[in-house]
Amino acid sequence: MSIPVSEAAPSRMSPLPLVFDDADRAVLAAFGQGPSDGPRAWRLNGEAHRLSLVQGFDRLLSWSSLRGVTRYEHQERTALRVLREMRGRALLADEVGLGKTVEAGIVLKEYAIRGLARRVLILTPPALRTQWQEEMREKFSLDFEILGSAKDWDAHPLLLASLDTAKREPHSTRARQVRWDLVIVDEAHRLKNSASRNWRFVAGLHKKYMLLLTATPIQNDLDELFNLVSLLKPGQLHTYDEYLARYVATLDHRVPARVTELRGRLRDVMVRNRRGISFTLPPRRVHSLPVRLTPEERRLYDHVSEFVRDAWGVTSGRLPLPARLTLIVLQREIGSSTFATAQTLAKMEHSPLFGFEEQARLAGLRAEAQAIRDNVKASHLRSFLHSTDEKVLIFTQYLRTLEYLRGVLETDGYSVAAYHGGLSPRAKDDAVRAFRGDRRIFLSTEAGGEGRNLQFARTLVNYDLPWNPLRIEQRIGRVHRLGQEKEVHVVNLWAEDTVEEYLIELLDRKIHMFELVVGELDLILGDLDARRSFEDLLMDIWTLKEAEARRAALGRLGESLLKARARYETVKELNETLLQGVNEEAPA
Amino acid sequence: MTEAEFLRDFTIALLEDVGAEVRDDGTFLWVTVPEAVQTGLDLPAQACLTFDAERIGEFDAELAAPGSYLLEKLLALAMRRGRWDAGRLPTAADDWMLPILRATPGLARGGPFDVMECKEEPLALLTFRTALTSDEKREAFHPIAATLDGREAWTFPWPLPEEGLVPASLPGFVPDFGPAYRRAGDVLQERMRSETERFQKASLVALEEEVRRIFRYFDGTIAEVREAAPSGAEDVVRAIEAERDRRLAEALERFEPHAVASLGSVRVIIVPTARVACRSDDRERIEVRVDALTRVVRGIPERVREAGPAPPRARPPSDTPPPRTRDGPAQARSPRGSTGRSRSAASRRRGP
Repeated sequence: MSIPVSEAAPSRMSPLPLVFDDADRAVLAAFGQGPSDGPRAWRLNGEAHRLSLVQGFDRLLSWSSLRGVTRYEHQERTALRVLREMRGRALLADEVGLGKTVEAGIVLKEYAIRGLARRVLILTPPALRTQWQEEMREKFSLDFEILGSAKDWDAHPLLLASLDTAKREPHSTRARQVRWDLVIVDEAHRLKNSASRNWRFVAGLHKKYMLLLTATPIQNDLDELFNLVSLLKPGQLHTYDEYLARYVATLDHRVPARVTELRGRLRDVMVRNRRGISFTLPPRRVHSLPVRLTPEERRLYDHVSEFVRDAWGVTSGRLPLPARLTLIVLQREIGSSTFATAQTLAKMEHSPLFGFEEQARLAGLRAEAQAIRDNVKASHLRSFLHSTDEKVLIFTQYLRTLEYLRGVLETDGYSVAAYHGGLSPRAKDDAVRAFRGDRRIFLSTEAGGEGRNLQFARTLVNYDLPWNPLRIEQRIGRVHRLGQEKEVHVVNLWAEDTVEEYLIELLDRKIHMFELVVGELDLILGDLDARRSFEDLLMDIWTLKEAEARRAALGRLGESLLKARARYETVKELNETLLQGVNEEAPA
Repeated sequence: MTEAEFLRDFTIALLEDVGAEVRDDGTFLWVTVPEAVQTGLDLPAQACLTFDAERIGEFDAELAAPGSYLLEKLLALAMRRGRWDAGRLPTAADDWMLPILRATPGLARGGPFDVMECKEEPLALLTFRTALTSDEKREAFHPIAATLDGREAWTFPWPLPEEGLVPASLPGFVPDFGPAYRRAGDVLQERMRSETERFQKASLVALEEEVRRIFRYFDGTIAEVREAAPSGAEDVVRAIEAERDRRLAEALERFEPHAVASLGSVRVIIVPTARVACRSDDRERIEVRVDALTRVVRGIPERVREAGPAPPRARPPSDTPPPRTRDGPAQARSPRGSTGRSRSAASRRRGP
């Protein structure tokens, strides 16, 4: 197609015809058919039309239907800029922790309310799919489906997929056949290379609006910025050669030229809110409480770990996925409580996933677990609670552990509000209200991480540690968030010589995760291994037979994490230098 | 009234109109939902509604707010219902038209008002919704009254007062709405003209800018590729051209403006109407039409309206454009010029 510009976009307009809907005939034909709904219904029909009218983007319509979203001026300003000035194609490059996801969600909701976005695709790193799904559901009442099979491309108008999966066949072809109203790409710095499959996949999607989200659009050099912007608006930064000639000063493409002009061009497609005084959070204090297991607990822990290693080693690659997942769950549970473990062992000993010999071992382990009536970690928790009179959030991953702790704490006379996924929405609200009121302890499973604002408390206990560090971060985010005015205390309970000690070693001692701003951890972990999650890497190490090999592997993972963090710091600095002033008028 | 209050009133009125029992405690609405609409609203028999997103979950309350699932359902229900109605406006007094005429700017208040004809006549009240869309959307609501014979149509203020209106059963009354609908359509086109033009212009400016940028970028890139590798770059060039064409198609689809109108409802009211000879402020003799329902005085020449005093006007002026044939200037051409017709225009026809 080589149509001249003047033909494709005529400067001389023919009048735009007002096209009347064919369905009007049916409205007229219905007159007098059957009884009328009455004059009030006629008036309400008109009011319904009036209520649902869309008046451009004069204001944001979605606020009143958002839940658990605090109204921040910078987010409102960003959404309106994206809708009005950028016409739905934007690079959202806020500094970490300023709510790019919420900004994208608001833009999406505004389009959805106006009927302009019906088919929406969100592309995220694999580890963030569930988090996005939860956030879209909880805050924006948008039910996104996570891509399972290739059929989902046609079946679900709101789809969430990992970029890594979506770009592969058969998904890639199916995704390109859909006419997307809006495509959102989280951690969009993964589109930095225009020769990559990632970039070509996203460029090839048929889309009307597109939001690219990244706090660090530049990872290595200025080419990456060009590639991202060209994805949104080709030509905004001229052609590649012109871009190099105008805006790149050095051969390594790391030093910009004509910076003011470049920032001016970026301003048309990029929003970058920076952390201002109002967004400075109070400090976090992390308290590590190591626990030495009792001899019985130690024995059980070692026996369970031994069973997991044996089963994992023997069956790795042959056993169905459910069996592998069961082993992971078992290993996690023994880090939580013997009660949670006993329950799973009881199920496993009758599971066809395991052979007779294994089932016999499982029965023995179950008996061993059931014989333990108290967990030493609970004693440490009680000691900690005696030492403070603050309201305390206690997180555990497992309902059985929650029930055990509830019994222990109520026996001690504590008033406890329990919160878990099995409660009705009303009961959940009641629990939060009770904690806001006179209950001192908020005892919660992971469901406690669902968008609830609990920043009226400031002390949080991780009774067990999820292997997914983003889950730990989510827990902390419940209290250490905008609106928190006091210093936050995070107490980590962990048993010595367990997987949880590995976690502490890697996350706390190596990369000082607990000092990071919410959101930074994603970027560090995302740089670690594109294909395997942190949990998988951890399980790989733990299931090594030899202690020496485990220590060596742990050391290597620690080094990788350190490098990832150092790299993140460099990238952060680079972006701060280059992009400072893109939205100089709008610091958050 | 705030938007939230309006929404609350609308919700209560709609629920009551479908037979629900509603108790408003100031925070929540406690609703006994009739079985007939439970499925349509996706509500249980006993439901609790809130207008505050932060109260969802309390008593399992459902949120009714812009963008919420429930409000979408409520609006859809209201739009499915009330699509037609019929009524009558009996008027006892013979001189009902005098207060209306005396209050009309441009007409001499003191008269004389010479009633040439006074009769009962069915008027069609048509409510239209228009949408201007490109990569954004602008909608509007237009209540338009028309005589059934299509002689005249005009916009009327919404909502109309309901006092005095009585339901009418009109057995055997099968109106031909064609003339009224078409005339109302003409009024709507005229009313929309300047906004449509502005919208079209803005969309096409954006499209033109996008297209220019795409051409500049891709053609420039092709030139750079050819310069770097004068021979053997044809595969790359073809790929770039294909990508350019895809982007152009995407831009066209995104920015191409559309203007669509749809009819929401129709109501026929038998209403006293009058033809009256009167004088303008500057004593010019004119003939006007008026009805007791919409109270809009039609037939005042533009120059008379412009010349008269300009107090705040309670009623909109007549919108009836000069009559024209169906094949006249209203048949617009494609915004894309002579090379192609708008896809949506081609796929839709004018209504009855």
